[in-house]
Amino acid sequence: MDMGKLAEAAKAMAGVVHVEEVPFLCTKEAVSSIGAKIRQHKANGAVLATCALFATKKLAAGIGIDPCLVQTFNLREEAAWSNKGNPEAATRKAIALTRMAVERVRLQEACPMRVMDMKQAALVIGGGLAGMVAAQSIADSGFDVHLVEKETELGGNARRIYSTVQGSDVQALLRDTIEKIENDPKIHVYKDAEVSEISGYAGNFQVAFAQQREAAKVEAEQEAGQEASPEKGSKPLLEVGAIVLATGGEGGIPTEYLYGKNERVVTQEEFEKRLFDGTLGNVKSVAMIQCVGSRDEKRPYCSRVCCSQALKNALRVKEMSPGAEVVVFCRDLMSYGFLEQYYTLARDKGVLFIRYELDKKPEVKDEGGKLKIQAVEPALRGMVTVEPDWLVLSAPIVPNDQSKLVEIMGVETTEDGFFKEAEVKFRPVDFVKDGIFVCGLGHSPRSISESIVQAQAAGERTVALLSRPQLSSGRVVSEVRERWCAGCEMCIQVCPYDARYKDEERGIVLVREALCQGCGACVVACPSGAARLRGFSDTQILSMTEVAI
Amino acid sequence: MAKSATLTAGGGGVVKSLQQLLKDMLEKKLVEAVLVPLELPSKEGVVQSLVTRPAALDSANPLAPVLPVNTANVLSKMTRLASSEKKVAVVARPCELRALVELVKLKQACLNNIVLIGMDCYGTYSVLDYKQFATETPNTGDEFMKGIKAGQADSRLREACQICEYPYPLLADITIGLIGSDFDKEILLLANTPLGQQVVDGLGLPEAQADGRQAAIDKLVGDRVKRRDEVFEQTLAETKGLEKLTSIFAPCIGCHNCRDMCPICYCKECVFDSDTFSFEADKYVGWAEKKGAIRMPTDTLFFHVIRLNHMVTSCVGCGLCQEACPNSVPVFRIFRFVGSKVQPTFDYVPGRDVEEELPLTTYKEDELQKVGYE
Amino acid sequence: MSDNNGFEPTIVGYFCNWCTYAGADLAGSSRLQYPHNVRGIRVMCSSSVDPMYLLRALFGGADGVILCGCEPGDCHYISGNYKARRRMMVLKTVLETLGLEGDRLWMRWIGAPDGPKFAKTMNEFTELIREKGPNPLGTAWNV
Repeated sequence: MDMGKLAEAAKAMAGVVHVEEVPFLCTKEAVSSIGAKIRQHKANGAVLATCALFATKKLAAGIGIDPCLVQTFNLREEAAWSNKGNPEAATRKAIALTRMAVERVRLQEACPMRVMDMKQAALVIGGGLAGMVAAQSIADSGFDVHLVEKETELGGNARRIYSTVQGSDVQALLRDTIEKIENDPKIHVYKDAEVSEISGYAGNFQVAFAQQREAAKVEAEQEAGQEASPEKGSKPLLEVGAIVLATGGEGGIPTEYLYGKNERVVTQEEFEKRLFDGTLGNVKSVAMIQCVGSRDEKRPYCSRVCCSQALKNALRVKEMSPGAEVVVFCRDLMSYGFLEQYYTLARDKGVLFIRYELDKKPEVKDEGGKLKIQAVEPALRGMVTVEPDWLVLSAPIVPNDQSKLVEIMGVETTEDGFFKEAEVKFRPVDFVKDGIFVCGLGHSPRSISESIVQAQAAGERTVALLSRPQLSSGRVVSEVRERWCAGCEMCIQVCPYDARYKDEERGIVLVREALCQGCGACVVACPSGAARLRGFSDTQILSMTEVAI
Repeated sequence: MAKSATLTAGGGGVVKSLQQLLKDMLEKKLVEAVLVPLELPSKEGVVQSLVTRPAALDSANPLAPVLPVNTANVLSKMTRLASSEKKVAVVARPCELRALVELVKLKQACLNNIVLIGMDCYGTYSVLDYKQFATETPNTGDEFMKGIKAGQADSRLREACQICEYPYPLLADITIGLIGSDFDKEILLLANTPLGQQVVDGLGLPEAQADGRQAAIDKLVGDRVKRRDEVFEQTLAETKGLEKLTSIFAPCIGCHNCRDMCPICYCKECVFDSDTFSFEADKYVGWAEKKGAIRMPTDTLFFHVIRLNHMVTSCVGCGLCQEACPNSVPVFRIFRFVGSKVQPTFDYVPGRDVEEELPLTTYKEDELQKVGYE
Repeated sequence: MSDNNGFEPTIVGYFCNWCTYAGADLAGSSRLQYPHNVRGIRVMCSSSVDPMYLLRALFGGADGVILCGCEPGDCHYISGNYKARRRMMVLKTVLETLGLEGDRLWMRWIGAPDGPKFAKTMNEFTELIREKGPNPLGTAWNV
């Protein structure tokens, strides 16, 4: 490439006051030299033709100017290396690229960062195991946590579980966790409470919640014609910087295999309770059917934990009555990871596993109060009959109804009603909307240990956010030219980050800068140009386009 | 479920019956105001007017075959800042209603307390043709309908109307069902929503008998579609390609009347009036140097292509753009034609449903697979 | 490149910062050769490219215009490329219906690791445009 020719051409470009060829831009001397030259020529912008790895922001910080005013383009990769053996082509391209970069800087305006204070407290919605673990991990890092639980006691779904397949005592774990939470001065627990309104953005949320009994009292008073005293009906307002959604889930209710019609047909949860409270009686034969209401058309997902639950209960039955017959009808056996050892153990102990296909489900009949199951055994290619004392169904994990929260908070759910994370690999416990995190069964079916790990992750993410004393918006954010805004809200509809909102009084749209990621979708959606990116305007792009031709 | 009632035409003709209908609405306090075209004193034209005094409706002429201003624009002006507190009945043609629905989606109009009375529409003339028509007869509305009944071909009908596939309202509280009615004797009134039902019930009209409305609509639409395809073919032949386009748009003087009269173009300040397209003299000279000569002002065709990009998904084909053009550039033809290609891509009919999202504000993950691989 | 064999097209590209631009850098650092005719403008997301810019390029005389973004499903801003896809559909339909050589406008999905795809696409596009010839809008004065 002909650097001399490039320098000549650059000198002639509109607005250029100084051109220099520097051997290595990444050295300290180069940085200070550039800084000096900028001040000497009273330039208000710089163009650097460099390689792809150049750290523009660092250089700008080193010189002490707004990084928006320094434009870099990759001379090496784009012009030189892609046109090897053709110096004329390479030079031509270099000149064109320089011209474009100069145009961009010529029309550039400074973009200062805006800073907002961070409210260093967190809100956890949901006092189940995941919610509590998340709250604890946030409190352990020194931040205040408000834990709002819909029911009158903490614990969520874990209250109905006694042990894990590995043999842990779940109720003891639950007791310990609750005790720690209730005695922690940094954790403020509100039971029998539901969040009613949330406004604001990451670092600065305002949350209103109502305590049900209070609300019911107020309603009763109002119905009785009494004047509701203002304090009673008032909703407390919390100011937090981050929110964790741990709203949980529970076992679904089967609609087949005579569930609800015969008292000997129960779910795994109900069966486990009887295993522990001694109401099981003498057991000669237990049958289990897996995937009842999971992995079908209505609910195509696998509920992950039911197979280990079945193994857990099957092993317990064998422990209590070694001679009992235990038959498990399954489509696959999800004994993933180290759970495989329990599958082996179960088979060693004589538990039978019979596969069935979705199109040939086992048939369950009630013959004079006695259960009779008939199913096809694929290896024998014949029918088998089981007459169990108990039929245990593995019901699916169903997320609790999140529709109200979804509406209030503007977060996303999957088709199955679980909360949807921002990105499954890189941001597994974040929501797309900044400042809100998720964990537990509300996100996806998972075991207790998996819930705990996920809750700790959500806690970490929360702490990472809260530990910044201030929140700064990006440099290139969207803004509104208020006079031009017709209030059509097209920009609000295309923003993936919920960063724009309508000022109903003025009839125009405004930007929540803290949430804006600078993607520019609003700029394109706005036909009149009322939406623009501060730091990268239409005029700049159009100008660059002109000189590129 | 549309409940239907019959409006018996008195001896005074169709227009008189409609006037009486609207008067009844005011007098029975079913609505507090009516937006309807009133005859100008000169009788050479009509103008949409907001009426509260029943007596003023004596000069109401909703059937006058002319569309000077799109009612959607009028309603947007009225309800944009704040919705109506009083009940207002709005008499409008199907294209106006469709445009209004699009404006509601764009938050430029609010339908609170508005009773939409959609009128089946057999078409309209240009303002000047109407002026001529008005000199030939004192009762333009009735005369026009007589011509329709007689099945006469009408060369004065605007092209936009000749090819309109929606002569019936898609979304209205009440429909004045002229198509298929023997409108000298009686007119079918359909209540399409609970609000419309309320008003129709309040009028105390007899219930309607069986109607031949759908069959008549199908026939009319069939004719219109045929004509539409003819016009589209013509448009294609006359405008496709840079050369033909430049010559079609050669007379365009950049007055932007088309944009101003378009009900869909709602921007407070159009991007073409902004600084985005203002340049220094040196830039112009630079361009002139590149090409040898450039037409001034620049961006004649560019303006139309951008306007297409911005609004063609919502174009309802009312044709007022072409009416407004001082140099008779066939803007409507081109915009409608392009619209007929763009809107089906998204299975979108502008004005069909208030809840239906504008195509450019939404997306599906699984669509348009070919884009990116052509 | 000398002009004696035919014309050299000018191609303006709009490349998204997170995927395509990175792909372009990768192509360069892998020494993959692609035509110098392609002038890339870095934008944050394919959804931030207003059809107005693409049209400006075409009406300004660019012989080819190419818009590149992340593969559908991989957009850094989640859904930007889906939105860009719809707008592109409208723009292309408008241009093709009007007979304004909509095939001078391409949209392609090029990810950050796709250096080879970047080079290949640029080569392909430049060749196509070279065969098509110069953009008539570049010389039309009465537009």
